This record gives sequence, structure tokens and C-alpha cells, in this order.
Amino acid sequence: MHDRDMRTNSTHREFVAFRTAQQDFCVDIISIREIRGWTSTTSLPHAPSYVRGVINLRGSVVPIVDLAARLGLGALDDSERNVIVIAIIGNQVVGLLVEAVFDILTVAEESIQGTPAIASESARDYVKGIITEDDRMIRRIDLERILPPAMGDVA
Amino acid sequence: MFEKLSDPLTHMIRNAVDHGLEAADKRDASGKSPEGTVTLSAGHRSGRVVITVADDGGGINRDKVRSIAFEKGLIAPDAELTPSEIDNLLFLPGFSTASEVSNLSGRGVGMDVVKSAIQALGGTVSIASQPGQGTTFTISLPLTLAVLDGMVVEVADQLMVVPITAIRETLRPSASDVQPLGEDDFVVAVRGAYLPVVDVAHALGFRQPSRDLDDKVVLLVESDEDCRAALLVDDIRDHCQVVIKSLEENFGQVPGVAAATVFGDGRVALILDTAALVERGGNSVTSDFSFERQALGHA
Repeated sequence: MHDRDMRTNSTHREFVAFRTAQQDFCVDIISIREIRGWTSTTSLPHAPSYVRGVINLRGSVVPIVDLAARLGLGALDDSERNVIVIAIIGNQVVGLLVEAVFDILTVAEESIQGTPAIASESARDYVKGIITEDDRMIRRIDLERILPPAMGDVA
Repeated sequence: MFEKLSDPLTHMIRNAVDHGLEAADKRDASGKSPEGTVTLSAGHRSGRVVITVADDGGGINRDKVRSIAFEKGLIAPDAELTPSEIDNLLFLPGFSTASEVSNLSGRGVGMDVVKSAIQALGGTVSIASQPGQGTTFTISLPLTLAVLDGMVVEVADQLMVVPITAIRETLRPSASDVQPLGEDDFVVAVRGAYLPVVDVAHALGFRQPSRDLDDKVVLLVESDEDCRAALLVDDIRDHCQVVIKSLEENFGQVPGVAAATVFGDGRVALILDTAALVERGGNSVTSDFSFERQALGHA
């Protein structure tokens, strides 16, 4: 019991919380590099529909994924108020297009709930936990799953 | 990058000398000069550096390759393989055809090591062999920090860059110069020769094939196998030098696109891979837009 108390005191995690498609999400702050305003993208041929295109991030070419579309919640409407969250996934830099970033949360590890088993298979694929903050339910996203599975070894 | 290339290249040249070239008496018998030639060349092809190591030796002994692959358990005994599939067995780990260790090669460091070294640099290795004529290994590497001379063209309201080295000629065809051929294909007449037209916007999946060829411009391009084709674009805008930026680093390979660049105003533009467009354009015109692709999350 004593050990457990020690742990709750020390393991707090920080998350960047944002909103898209009327739902609240968050991502571990460690994997976020920066948050940028909306920039127009250059479309990529043959890319999945949720890949909006690429932008120039200080000289590197970074793909932009529409998070709402990726999660099957419909494409986000174009708006200059949209925000791009630059995330590092593995060794790739990817921009997530969302409606707005609203908070940075500090959450004790223990208060992160598992995804309820009732959720559909696809939701459980992306959501790796749930955080409650002032009556809001914030879905913690598994960034690794945001990238589509490798499309096989095509030559 | 060039430091990392030296080992695989040395290995390939050794291989060419040791396995590729036949002994002098054997060359003499087949009517070749007793002195063999290994050619190392490098060039620039639509946004990639292409290095070839070619020998004029006996070519790959496919029966021998097959039987070795079978002995080592790399293929099933009844596997039906095309000649090029057999050639590619050389890249499998643990494959070595040399029966004896010579002073040049045969130490078990096979072509698989070469292949993985090249892949680590983001490149590809391919092999082509003609029995009795020799073998050519081609290394293709992405240009990462290089400047490219390009023509800026407009395709489906986007600006794109075509490497100038690929373009032979540009022209604005009159309606009578363009003839339909088959269901969706067109050819353009250029001084009596008919060249296939590749609609770039369609080949990239941006829109349906265009039937209205007025006001369009074609770029005559030549890929390395002397195959000429006409790329159809909406307009030519500019000519400029661009810095090549990798698209593979954060996204993956996109068919028909060699790399990307950033223009002065900060916008990203794609650099087209003309050879791939010509090669694949012919197939995509009648099929749907889905090229084989490997992107975002390729591991």
C-alpha cells in the first residue's frame, strides 16, 4: 500500500488536449514538437483522403493528417482557425490538423481510465485511455495507430 | 553519404571482376576480347542519382543460381521463377555462388549486405543480366541535398517541377496533332512520329483524363531506355533551380514523384519522376487511380 502511494505522487503525465469533430482528444506532450496556425497544403498524389498534403516546416516537408477524417469522424472543414499539431511518431514528423488546442493537462497516471470495452473496434484501435477533466471526457490517442498500417512490401 | 557508399561499391566491383568476368581463355572461345571490361558510371535521372556497375562477362548463370538457392533452402524445388526473379535471388541473405574463396571475393559477405547498405541510404539496387553479354547492377539513390535545374509547370492548379535534364522539347500541339488511340489513350504527332501522351494530372490521380487538349502543353521526355513520351501539363510557368527535399523521410514514396522542394514563397512543390510517370502512366490510364503505394508508416 505504501509503495502504491509513492507511485501516485511521482508519476504525473502531461498531455496536450485539443478538439476536433466535436470530441476532445489528447496526446502525450513528449511527442508534440510544436503547435502551428493553419497553412495551406500541397496535395499529394495517391495519398489516402485523410492526408491533406504536405507543408514546409522550416525546410522539411511534413505531411498533414486530418485527425477527424483519420478517425472516421468526417473531414474537418477548411478554416483559418484550424490548428496544426506537429507530432513526432517514431522517426517521422507528422502534422495533425485539428480544430483547436484548448489545454495542457497534468494527470496522475492512475486517473487514466482504460477504454471501455463497449467501444467499437475502430475506436479502441486509436483510443488508448480516457481522462476526465472538469466533466469533460478526453480521449487519449495512440499516435502510432494514426499512421496507416504499412501497405505491404510493394515493389 | 559517399563514405557509406564506398563499401558496397567496392564489393560490387570485386564481384563484377571475380564472378562477372570469365577467364581469358573462356572469353577468347566465345569471341570476346580476352580483356574484360567493368564499367562504373554515375548520372542524374529525374531527381535521383543512378550509379551502374556493368561488366561484359558471361552474365548470371541462372541454372547455377537456382540450384544453389535450392540447396540452401531458399526456394522450393518446384518454384517457377522468371529470369529476373532468379537474378534477384542473389540479394538473399546467405547466398554466395562462389565455390571457392579467391583473393578477391567469396567470404560470405553477399549481395544482401550491399542491398541493405543501399537501402539504409534510402536507395534501391536492381540487377539486369544478359547471358553471354554481361551483368549490370544499378543503384538508385535519392538526392537529398542537391540542387536541381527544373521547369516549373502547372498541373491541376498546382505548381510542380520537372527536372530539365529529362525534357527534350516542349510544344503546344494543335488539335489535329493529337489522335485518340484506344479507349482513353492519346498519341501526339511530332514530326511524323507518334508518341504516347501521359496526362500528368490523371496519372497523379488529381482528375479524370482530359479530353480537351486546347491550351495544354506537352513536354517531350526521354527516359533511359530510349522510350520517348509526351507529358501533358496545363502550362509552363518558369524555369528555376530548386533545392531537393526528401518526401520519404516523413511520408514515404509516392509513385510518379521523385521528391519535393520549397519555393521562395514557402510553398511545397513536388518534383516529378518523369521515368516513373511514363512507365506507369500507360498502365494507369485505363485502370483506376490506385497505384501500388507505400507511404506514411512504411517501416
